[in-house]
Amino acid sequence: MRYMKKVAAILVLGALVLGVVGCSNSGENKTKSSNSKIAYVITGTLGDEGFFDSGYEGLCRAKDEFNVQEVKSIESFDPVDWEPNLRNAAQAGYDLIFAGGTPMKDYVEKLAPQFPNLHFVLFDGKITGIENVISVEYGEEQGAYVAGVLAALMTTETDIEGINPEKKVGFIGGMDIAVGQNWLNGFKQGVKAIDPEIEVLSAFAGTFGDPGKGKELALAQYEQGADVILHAAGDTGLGVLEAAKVAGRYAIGSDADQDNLQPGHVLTSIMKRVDNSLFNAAEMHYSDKWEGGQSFMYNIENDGVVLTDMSVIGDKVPAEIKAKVQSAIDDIKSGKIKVERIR
Amino acid sequence: MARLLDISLLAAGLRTATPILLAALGGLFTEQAGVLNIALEGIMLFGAFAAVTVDYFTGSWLLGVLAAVFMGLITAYILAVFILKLNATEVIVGMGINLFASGLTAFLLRTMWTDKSELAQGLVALPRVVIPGLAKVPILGPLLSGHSLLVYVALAMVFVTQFIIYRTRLGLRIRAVGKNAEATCSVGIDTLKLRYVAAGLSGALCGLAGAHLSLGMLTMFTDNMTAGRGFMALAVIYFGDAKPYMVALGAILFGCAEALSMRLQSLGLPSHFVIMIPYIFTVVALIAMSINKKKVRPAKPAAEGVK
Repeated sequence: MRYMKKVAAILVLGALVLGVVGCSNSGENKTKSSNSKIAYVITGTLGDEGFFDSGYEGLCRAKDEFNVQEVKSIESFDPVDWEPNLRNAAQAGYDLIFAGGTPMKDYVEKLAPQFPNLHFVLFDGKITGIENVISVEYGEEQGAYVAGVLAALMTTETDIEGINPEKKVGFIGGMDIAVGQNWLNGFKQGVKAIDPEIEVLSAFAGTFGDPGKGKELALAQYEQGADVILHAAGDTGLGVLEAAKVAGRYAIGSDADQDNLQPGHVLTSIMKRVDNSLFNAAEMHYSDKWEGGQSFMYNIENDGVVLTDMSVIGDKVPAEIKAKVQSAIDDIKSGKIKVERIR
Repeated sequence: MARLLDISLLAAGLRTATPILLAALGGLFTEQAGVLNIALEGIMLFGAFAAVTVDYFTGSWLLGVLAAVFMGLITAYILAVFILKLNATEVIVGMGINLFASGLTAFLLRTMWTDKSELAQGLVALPRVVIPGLAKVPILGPLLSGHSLLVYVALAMVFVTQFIIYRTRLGLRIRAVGKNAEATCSVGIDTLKLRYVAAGLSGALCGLAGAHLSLGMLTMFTDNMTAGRGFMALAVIYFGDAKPYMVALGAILFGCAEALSMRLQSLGLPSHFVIMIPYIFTVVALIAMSINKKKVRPAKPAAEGVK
């Protein structure tokens, strides 16, 4: 009996493990590349419901579409592992290797020339001129610009519940690194475009993993008079969204669709379509249209960075504001508005 | 500037201090009993996860808090068995529990809730306590009224801990076993049992700290959400020399320093500098304490060094 229990426990655990990892397999044969294997080497872990999960989803789609034998994710938060992980993937028979997280750039530059028969895709970063590497960048500054437009329009509409007369909006970032500053800079440009008098309060938590700190930072900004806060802070930002609910104010989410986390207080979410960008890169590999040495920018202009449709917040955002936000998006697409990028 | 140093700063300081304070009050029992407990962080994280899980499935915050305390007790018991019974190194066991907590809770979070909004919507937060008369008093009202329940429990626990340590037989014995275990043993006291009790108390309070984090301060669970608060608690214990009032003072000072640093960023000071402030404060305070200690302490206690 005790033995049975042990077996059952191991089976349950095994099922749990399998439940987490792996693409679902539709198993249809479409193309010839059935012996191709994809490695997904990342500077974090799956399960972030944002950047890395989105990329993995894109690769799972590619797996079905191009009949890839395997998509293997190799995950680590530890910088010591990153280069060995990439090297191991290159030596282990994967012919298409995705390396993600900006810090991977140095290792791809170093290793790709040593494995000229393999194709490498770096995402979020820029490498040009190496024939077996393409790189993918995201223009978060354009998304942040639109968020700035939305926040600035909202903070002056004092008729809306939770909006105070003070002309202040807020930004909360994770770590104070280039990508964070780029978010902030884009946001400021959007706010200034609507009304140069609006003050932007900004803060960095110093970490992407402390929602408690995110909440207190947001509460401090709400107390100082901000009524809309954009976060670009990973898990820390989840605390920002909760602060919006507690304070009865508003926040703008990022990375994933976070509108449903605190319904009625999240105006919209700025999402990077990592899935589409990586799927497109895989398509280049499997359709023999590899544009080696090129870098591809995904931003508002080509729907690589998008906003949610604001259906969850609904009528709390007046129709004319929604229209102005849409026209800001259209102006970026048409090139009428240029958003400065600082990374 | 007027907005910088007002009463909301102190209120935020108190909120920020609470999880550290609860964990530190727990850890001071083991510290007094002479057991090095660096697993405060992991125990807190387990507590936070247990609170969220039970709260989600039962819809009762009270059961959630009790589950966190229970989980804290179990984890501390495991720690104690390894250290006291199996003679494992305290640092290794403590680190092991911290890593285990971070890995297991992250794993379970993903298997139990595939959609984060499902969890966010399904949680019942701890009630906020509005003190009827006090709420309208100008300064004290916003400072002391309207906090989450466990903030008050934490403040009460400062006095309870002080009472247990200095006014009860149990407290006397815990202090004795920490000062000199062999002497304590020689008068017929079961030192092993005492250390188990101290570990249990530390676990229960750390569990409570975790519950405050996931159901009081926030209403969610994320990977490693304790974010170093267990280690801050450890620093605060050393700051306060494991004395409840001094530990409470240390936790609240740290909380206020942190709250101040959050507000300073909005004034345009560089974030890298501002984030440093609470930690600089901690280091300075520790140095000041140790200089002070050297001056005050007359001679070494008689038992020290006697094996």
